[in-house]
Amino acid sequence: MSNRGSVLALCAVGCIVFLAIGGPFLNPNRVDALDWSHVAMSPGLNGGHWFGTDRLGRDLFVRTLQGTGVSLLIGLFATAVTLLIGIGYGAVAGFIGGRTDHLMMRGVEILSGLPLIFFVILVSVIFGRSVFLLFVSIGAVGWLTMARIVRGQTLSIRQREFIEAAIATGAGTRRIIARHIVPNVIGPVIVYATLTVPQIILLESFLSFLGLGVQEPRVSLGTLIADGVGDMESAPWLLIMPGGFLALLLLCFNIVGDGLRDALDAQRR
Amino acid sequence: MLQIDSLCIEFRQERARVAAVRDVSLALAPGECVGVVGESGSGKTQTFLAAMGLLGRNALVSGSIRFEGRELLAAATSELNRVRGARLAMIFQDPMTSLTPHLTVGVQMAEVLVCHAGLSWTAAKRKALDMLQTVRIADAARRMRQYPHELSGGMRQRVMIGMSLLCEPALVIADEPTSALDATIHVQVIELLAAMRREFRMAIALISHDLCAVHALADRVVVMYAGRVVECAPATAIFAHPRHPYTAELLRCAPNLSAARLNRMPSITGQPPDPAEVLPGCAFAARCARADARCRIERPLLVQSGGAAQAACHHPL
Repeated sequence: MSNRGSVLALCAVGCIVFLAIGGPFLNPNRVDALDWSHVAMSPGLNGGHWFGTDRLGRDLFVRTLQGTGVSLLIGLFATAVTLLIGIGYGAVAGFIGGRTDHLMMRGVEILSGLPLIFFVILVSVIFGRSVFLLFVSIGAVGWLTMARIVRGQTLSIRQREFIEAAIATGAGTRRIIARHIVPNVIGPVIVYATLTVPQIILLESFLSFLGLGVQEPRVSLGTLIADGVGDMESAPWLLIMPGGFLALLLLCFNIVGDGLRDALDAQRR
Repeated sequence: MLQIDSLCIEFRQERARVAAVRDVSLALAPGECVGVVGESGSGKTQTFLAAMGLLGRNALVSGSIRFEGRELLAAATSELNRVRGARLAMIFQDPMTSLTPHLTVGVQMAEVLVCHAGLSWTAAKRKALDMLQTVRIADAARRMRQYPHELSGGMRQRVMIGMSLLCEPALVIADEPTSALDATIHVQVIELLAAMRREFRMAIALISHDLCAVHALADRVVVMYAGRVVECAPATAIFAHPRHPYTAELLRCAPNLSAARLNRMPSITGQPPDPAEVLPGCAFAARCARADARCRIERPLLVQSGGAAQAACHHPL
């Protein structure tokens, strides 16, 4: 842990997570409370509206933190879905190899040819809009790259002698994949997962911005930014605050991911 | 117990098919130790990898390998998994890379027992600990909790040997068990194998370049050249009186301290034939001092050549 920047970024991520969970309790205002005496107020200490309020008098501090929480949750959850499907699929394709591998990877290529936005719109039109579906549809597309990475790693590990030795002890395919291959691919996978989280947060914000993602009264950073853009000239803080949080979050995750990659590369050297 | 009949192994390559093993037949009796020697590329390892079902994907195999009444070549993977590790075990060449790096020695060994004998993890670990003591690893309890990279090469090979013996197999295939180790460890590993053989009474197929190891351990020696068995004889007979000129050359090349002068290390002149080539005659003819016209046209068959020895040569010594 010699990389000071990454450690700092990791601490920042920790702080943001802590704020997203505990922050709303620090402030006297409720998420959905409308404070008609303070409408479209600029940031300040007045009435406890630290980040100001929007045109309906809702407190921006609490809403930003809750939006951060929702965005984080979607990012982490969808990444978990990505990991689950990607590791399983990639390890099986890589280990079994041959024609199975061929078929499985062609499948991945066909899926990755689908335009993501189109896919998400389709899902939300057919099944209705819900946060859960958003998790699933983002995760369902996000696993493709993960599967490719895991397959590549598996292919190189399968050549190693200890896998041959494990086969020679009579361990079945499932056991070999679960016990001998997956733990060995976890390094690069974790690095990629850390870089997937911000990608997904960004994607979710983008979809929410377009009105395809999280719906009112729930908020995510994307919906807040979309709201803020409308009042950009009269009340810039409505855009700056959630936008700043989004930028900070993405920056920190990317720095942590880069740091992890460096750390693992150093080990390989 | 192990019966290999007219085994042929070919590898499909981009342009050609390369034959690694050509019509090899050999048998192992229970408890017998057979040394399999030959140059690199003579097909000795591939023969036994075929028995383990570990051949590369591009291999084409014909013939038959029967083990305890089961045909291994036709067996499904699940059936093979019941045999390998349990009745048929293998010790690999390089202990540095043959142990899974992220599992402790204890877990790795116990896994074999959990897998085959259906033991609980606690019972399996106890048995693994006993086995580490049997293969003479000092401070076995501590070693159980260590990772492979914390052990020396010799110790890891002991772990490999112990691991192969956990289910008390009928046959252990030792694929050059000493060649990746320091010369000083060779003797220890061979002695350990000999001791384990006395204790567990398993058969051993010792695949080796190391004639000293073969001399120390084997009851019978099979010499392979260019994918064929060229000589097969009891160990005492073959070391005292080799029949095939190739065997004689191999023995001449065995390092011998009293005669060794680096600038006069004996070697067999020439190269083994290209495995993609099909020669009508004896594959060794080009390098053989005794070869004549007949050797280049007509392939010698493996026939009785004095006593219990068999040799494939028109002009045996």
